[in-house]
Parts: sequence; structure tokens; C-alpha cells
Amino acid sequence: MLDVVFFAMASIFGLCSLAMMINAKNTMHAAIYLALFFSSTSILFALMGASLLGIVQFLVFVGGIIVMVVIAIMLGGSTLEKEKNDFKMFILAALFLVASIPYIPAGGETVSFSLAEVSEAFSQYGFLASIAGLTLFSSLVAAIYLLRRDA
Amino acid sequence: MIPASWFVIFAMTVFATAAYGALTRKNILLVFFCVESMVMAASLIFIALAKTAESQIFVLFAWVISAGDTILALAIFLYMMKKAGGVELDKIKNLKW
Repeated sequence: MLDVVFFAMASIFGLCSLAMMINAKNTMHAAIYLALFFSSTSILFALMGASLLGIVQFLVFVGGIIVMVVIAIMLGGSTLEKEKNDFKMFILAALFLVASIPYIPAGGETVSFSLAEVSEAFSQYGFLASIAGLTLFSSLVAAIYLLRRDA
Repeated sequence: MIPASWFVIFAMTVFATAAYGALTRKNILLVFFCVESMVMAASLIFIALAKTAESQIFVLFAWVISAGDTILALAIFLYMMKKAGGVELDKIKNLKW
């Protein structure tokens, strides 16, 4: 019963934040709504039993990528049109959702990892992880080159 | 336990909404946000229908590639701000014939 409640909360919150992100006129607001959408999907991953993915999504996407996007928006000085938005209820809902994370009943139809399995899986896929890291590095180099070059 | 079909229906709704946003918005960052949401929806469907724990590693690698395209999208956004002075996709028409 509790997992159905969490699913309903996370899915409604995710869809609302996605809809508000698409309708946002202010780019910074859209980035915040995207962060809230990622938070709700991380809860859904935890409900499915993929708790590793839920944690990684929260840390990497919300904590890393959205922060990078916000910094890029501030650097670019993008369209920050004045938009009359009342965030209070949304922020309250977001805080309630985040505060309820420890009570999410973990487990689902997907098999969940144990810590030993995580260590073994990453050692087994270590070479692929290195290749993925090199891919990220190459995209970083490309981004630096694109921004340094005067066309 | 929540049936996997519920997650699939939610993910399909998210995908359709994000696809609508990607097709209708002109701001390059918003289009990119919608594409990222579509990637999340695909990951949700993948995990909902997965049977083994290794599927999570596959999704992690997909997210790494997505992070790489995030870096490039932000670089293109900053380049557009510098060169075109705006982020509307209508301004990119040098290759238009």
C-alpha cells in the first residue's frame, strides 16, 4: 500500500514538473523543474528495486548536471524573462517528497544489487567504464575547443 | 508490489510529453531538457522490464553517454549566446539552402 502511495506521489509530481518545465518562459525555472523531475524519477527507480540507479541519478543528474546547466545559464546570460510563478506550493511538495525518501519501500520486480554484487559488477565492467570515461573526456575536450575557437 | 506496466505507462506518458516539448519549443536549452527527459523515460522502461541486476549497469553507461551530450549541448548553447546573441533555434540558419 505504501509503495502505491509513493508511486502516485512521485509520478504525479514528475508529470507536473515536466509540464511546468515545458511551459516555462524562464530558462532558469525550466532547469529547476527539470531537477524536480529527475528527483521524482529517482524515487521511481528506487521503487522498482534499482536503488543504485536512483541514488546515482540523484547525485549525478540533480547534483551535477543541473548545477552545470544553471552555471551555463548564468554564464550565457540567457533569456531570464520575468515570469510570475508561485513556487511556494511546489517547493513544499518537493520538500515533502525528499523527506519521505527514507520511507520508500525498496524492492520491486527488478533484482536489486547488494554491495558485494556492485563491487563485482564494476570490476567485471571496468574496461567499459574506462571507455565511457574516455568518451566523456573527449566530449569535454570538444566543448573546450568549440568555445575557444573564433569562427 | 507495483506492476511493471504502471511504470511503463508513466514512462510512455513522460516520453510523449517530452517529445511534444522538444518539437514545439524554440529555446535550445528547453529542447535539450526535453531530450534528457526522453532519455529518462527510456531508462525507466528499460529497468521496468528488466529481469537481471546487470541492466542497471547498462543504464548507467547510457547515462554516461547522455552526460557527454549534455556537455556538448551546453557548449553549443554558450557558443550561440556569443555568436548569435540568442538561443532561439531559428537563428541557426547558416546551413540553410
